[in-house]
Amino acid sequence: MEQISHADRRFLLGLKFALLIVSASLLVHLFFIRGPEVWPLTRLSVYATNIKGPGSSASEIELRIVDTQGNIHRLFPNDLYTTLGSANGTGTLVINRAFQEASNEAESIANQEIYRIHLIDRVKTALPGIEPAEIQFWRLRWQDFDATDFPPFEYEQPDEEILLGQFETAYYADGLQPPDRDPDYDFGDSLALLGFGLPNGTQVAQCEDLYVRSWWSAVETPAKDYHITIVLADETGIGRAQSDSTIADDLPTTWPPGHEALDRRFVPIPCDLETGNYNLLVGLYDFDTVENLPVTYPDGSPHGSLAYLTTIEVIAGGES
Amino acid sequence: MHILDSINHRIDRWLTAPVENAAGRMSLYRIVYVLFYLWVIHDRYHDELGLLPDDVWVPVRTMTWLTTRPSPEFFRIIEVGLVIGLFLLLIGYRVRTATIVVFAAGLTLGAFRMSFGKISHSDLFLTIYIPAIMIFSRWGSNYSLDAYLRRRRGEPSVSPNEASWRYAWPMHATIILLGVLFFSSGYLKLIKGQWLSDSQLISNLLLSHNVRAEQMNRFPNVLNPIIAATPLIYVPLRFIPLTFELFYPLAWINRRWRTLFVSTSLVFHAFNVFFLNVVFTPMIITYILFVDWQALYQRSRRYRPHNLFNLERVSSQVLVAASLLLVAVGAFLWYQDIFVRNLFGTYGLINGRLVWFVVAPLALLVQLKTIWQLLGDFSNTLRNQRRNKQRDLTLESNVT
Repeated sequence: MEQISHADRRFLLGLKFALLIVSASLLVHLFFIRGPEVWPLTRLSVYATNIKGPGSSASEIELRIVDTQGNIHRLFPNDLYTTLGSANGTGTLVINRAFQEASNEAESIANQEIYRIHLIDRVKTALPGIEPAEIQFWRLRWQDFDATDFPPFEYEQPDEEILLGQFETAYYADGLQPPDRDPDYDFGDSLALLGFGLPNGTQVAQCEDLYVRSWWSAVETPAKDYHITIVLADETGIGRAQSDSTIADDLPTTWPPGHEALDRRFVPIPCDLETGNYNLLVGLYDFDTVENLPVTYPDGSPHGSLAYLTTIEVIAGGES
Repeated sequence: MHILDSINHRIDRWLTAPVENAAGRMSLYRIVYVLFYLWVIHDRYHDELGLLPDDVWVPVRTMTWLTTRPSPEFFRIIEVGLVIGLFLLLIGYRVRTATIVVFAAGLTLGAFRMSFGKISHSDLFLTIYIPAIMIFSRWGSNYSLDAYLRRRRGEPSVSPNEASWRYAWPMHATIILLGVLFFSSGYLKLIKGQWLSDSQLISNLLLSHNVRAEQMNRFPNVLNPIIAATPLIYVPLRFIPLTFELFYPLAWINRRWRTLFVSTSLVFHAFNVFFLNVVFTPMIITYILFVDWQALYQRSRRYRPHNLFNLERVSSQVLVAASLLLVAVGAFLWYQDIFVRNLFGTYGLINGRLVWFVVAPLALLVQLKTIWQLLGDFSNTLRNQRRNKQRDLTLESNVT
């Protein structure tokens, strides 16, 4: 052993102490901590438990991306992320949520939209230079194979291919961002409409819902939790269908200046509404007094109590 | 008290044992570490962590305090910080600070990466444990801008052949961590798994792997069904990983045992890659810490160009400024995904599986050589014992 100075001795003591603490922590983690790991401590539990037989059937999910040229590209859930590792299940989770059936409620649709937009982004990253037009979700199944064969089955020849869902990427082209960020209208002194979108287009059938997205910005914190109303009005100005609630199902009085919110709204179209053109109008009102906030153009000139968005064509049910 | 003193003394002797070329091999390991790290992360784009939807966020226990997740920009900045740290380590400028940056960035990115779904252990040593250890090491003593500038200032320089424990202790610290972790893995198999009771376990593992590999359109192994049909192989095979992991602390005995366990670790991981498709490539960096890079470097002397750069005429300030500029440009190109990522990713020539085709045979050779040497040691011990016994008997008979 070479000569050890006082400083060396102190370092050595610190080293031994650190090694003891780390080793003891790892062992405590191994013997006494139940449930998930306390990362970055670890137990290296690969293949320790839950080893099952191979079985005689298997299934796998994959995405098939149809690009704007009509070519099909295949992706596994793990191909969507570069940082999460091949055994991570996040890709599968994201795909499932992007395709799971959404009820016709804003929250459910919003959740599905978030995942679909995220999925489009990931697909574009995983397939650079490819412009996806449609994303399909497939389940492949291989059955009655013998795992002792080599290979046990052919990946390219599944016994069953099931299309679980699909969507067109154009539907989410705005990425849930307003088409432009300049206010279209101001409502009172505190709120501005930044833009609106109609993912299903300007045509809607009787008995169905018209889906309207609108983006709002707080110029200053609103004094009240104003409600939004979206109205389909006929040429005489009479409302024939409408949907109301607080803006973005949120409490605007909690919004700091500059806060932006996306409102999703489904306007139910009555089955007996006459076919034809209707004006789509939006307004904000005080729920207690049922008084609308005055609508002005950004230059300050008055517009009325409801803002005109676009014209909607109502068609006979079953035609759309 | 006497026993404790004795143990303490033995530990001190173990930790302070000289290691051949310690200063040079650790410094060269620093360079290998950086190149390996950059190769591993060249295709990782950490900004995606800021884009994941909120409800797939499953924080590890150490991250549950976080209430809001940072934006993609945050992750890009941390990634660039990591790359700057690695580039600084590569040239060896402000090595300790750079090591701290690499550790902090690796810890931050790792904590977020592990908070989405399944926890992976494969790069724990690469990103956390090794930089944490190296913060206190002297892996910048040679082959670094720091060392060059010190020499210019007239400060004493360290020979790369310096064998002092002051340079070598990170190897001891790492082998202790490996011993504890492998033991934990063996313990879990022994206590919670069916490794002792299920004679079909290896057979099931191999066949399941082939199914899973085909399912993922990857690489099933043609040998798996053959092994799975041969009880003579698969029944005893399950005891090998169990024994190897539980007895890993034997690597603490001496250098030869350490070499045996380290080379066996690589063979073990290679088996997992080829037969089970469990790819632990980032772990390679842990095991090659024990390679004598200095000896390899000296052996390669005749193939190396000499006096490629004559820096003597360049002032220290210019040298530092040029190096920092190089680091900044490199980090910027990395950020912009221009050229540098591909360069360190070897333009896809070497991937995480391919590297095992080189590592596995080398590790196997070292493993077999070490087993042979240990058997030689054992037979020498037996021969000496027999010789001593015979000598004692002769002495005894002479006395009588």
